[in-house]
Amino acid sequence: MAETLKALIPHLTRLRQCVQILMLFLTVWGANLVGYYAADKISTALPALSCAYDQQNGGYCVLVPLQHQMHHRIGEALVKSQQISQQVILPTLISLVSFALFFFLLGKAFCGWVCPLGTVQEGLNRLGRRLGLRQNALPPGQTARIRPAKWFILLGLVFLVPLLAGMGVAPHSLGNPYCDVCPSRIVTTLLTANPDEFAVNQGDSVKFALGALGNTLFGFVIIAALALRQPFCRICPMLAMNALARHVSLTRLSKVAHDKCEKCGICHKACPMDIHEIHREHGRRAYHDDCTLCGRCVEYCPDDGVLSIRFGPWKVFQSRRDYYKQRIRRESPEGDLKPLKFHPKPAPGRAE
Amino acid sequence: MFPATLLAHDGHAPAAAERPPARGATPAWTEQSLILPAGRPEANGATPYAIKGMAAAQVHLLSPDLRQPPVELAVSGGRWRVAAPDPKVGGYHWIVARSETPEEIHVATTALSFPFPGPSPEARLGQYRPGLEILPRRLPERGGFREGDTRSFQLRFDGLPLAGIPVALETENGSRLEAVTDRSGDAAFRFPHDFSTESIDPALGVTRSRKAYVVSSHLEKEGLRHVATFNQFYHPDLMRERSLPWGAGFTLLGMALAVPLLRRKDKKNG
Repeated sequence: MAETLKALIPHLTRLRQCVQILMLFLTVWGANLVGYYAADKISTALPALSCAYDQQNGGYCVLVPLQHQMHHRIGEALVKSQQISQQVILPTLISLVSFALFFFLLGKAFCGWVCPLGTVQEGLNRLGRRLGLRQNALPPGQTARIRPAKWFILLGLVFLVPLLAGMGVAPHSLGNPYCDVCPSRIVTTLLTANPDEFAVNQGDSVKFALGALGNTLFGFVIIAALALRQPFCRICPMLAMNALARHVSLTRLSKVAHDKCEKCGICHKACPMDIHEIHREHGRRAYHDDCTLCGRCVEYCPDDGVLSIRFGPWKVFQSRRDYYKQRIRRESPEGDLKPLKFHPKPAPGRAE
Repeated sequence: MFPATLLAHDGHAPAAAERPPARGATPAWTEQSLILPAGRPEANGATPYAIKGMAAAQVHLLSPDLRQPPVELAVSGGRWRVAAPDPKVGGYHWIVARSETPEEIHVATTALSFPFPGPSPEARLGQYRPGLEILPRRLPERGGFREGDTRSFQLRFDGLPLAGIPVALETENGSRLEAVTDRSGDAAFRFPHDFSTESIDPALGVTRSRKAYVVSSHLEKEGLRHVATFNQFYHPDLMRERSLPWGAGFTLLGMALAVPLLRRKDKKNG
């Protein structure tokens, strides 16, 4: 039994892929399992882009209720000059507390193990590699320029613009702006054979502009993912949300200082988010806000115990030299797969 | 917060049993009974409702939480006000109006949703209730029923599905469809594309414009005529203001922008 399991799941990435596929089914088609109504869902404040527009999902992304509450509760209440009462604040707090409870347990693993858009991008990237496309890695200068985008999108599109729409300063059509541009909305609804979200809304110029931007982003991500690991994750506001309290989560990345780290850098090559800090930093600074807790840096660290994934005080998985040697035989740190080999069946009667 | 009890009309309505039942006029588009909002929600969260085409002696509000007993609503002139009986339990609630004469038992139902969390309505949908009733298999979760949606309604008598009985769907836009229930008591309807451009409120757009529909059936049993209706609202097809060609066009634009990233591997250098 143990041998069979080991053959089926020989390394952490394979385990993560199995979890991702399971979570893809649960987040995209899970209503068939958990139930159709909001009360049946796993949560309506999931720290992953499990889209509420997908009627068959197993749970909603937290960004949906946050925008709704900013728009319809806090923004409108501010305009009506009502006091910010329990009725106004409570739903927002419930969403944030539900999110925090999930986050406290699994932390950034929601990005690397649960998010359906992350899984689709990884699948496309593997396809791109199989097609022989050259992969693009972002140098530190480019990552530094891109990184603030996720914070601007979180603050602007999830919090500020819906609040302004609720206050009447921005048009009502801007009440849900992040969802309107989120590629996961289009990907997950298309996976349920629903074209409604793929079609651009022409209701007014604002909706049309948001729809146009959303579809352009969707098209870009689908093609870019063939030649760049996790293109959308780099600007995802959920990555930023999940980064806020990553150090208090029970599940987290840990790195201890080691003499060889300065010269090695394999962990940086393995990182799908091109986090160069994982190479030179250690301690809290090595667990960067861009990390999706996929565990590839731990898998590809050639030294015992330098990198680990922890759950509370326990090391769930840690770097080991013998594991690294096995892993490198199947896949390069950058993600290049071992070529598929086809062995034609010898013709009958012909010696091998 | 919502008041913990349902509000009687004007706060001064006599108990239902003390008043003669009122019979509201049916709208022109249907002869079936309808339970409809009769005004905007008030500041205290209560919404006025009215019944049309039926002399309702008793109206009850049912919570999705089966532990809560039905709340009898005080009807005055065919109208009443309704708010969530428990401010901690939101989501779908049922309004059930019932009238009985020696010849006929008439049950009209609708579902309304309070905009705060509550339990799933599945248990209440599946709960045993005596007499004839027709209920949607699924209530709309986000966005409501729309033109073009195929939805099933189950016809039951004393909690058991009724097969082979005609069921009619009528819409405020003037459509009428008929279906016969299958072995599970289900009648499926595809909501007709019957919104005219004029019937879509420009201020509400396709997303929020709505018209009423009613699903009804009747049954003769042991000399009694049983009539059941369920009414709610449906909305225009989202595709009325959406464009697949524009969607495909902008997706192709995005794909084209990403094409410079795609290069074949240099075989010498990997």
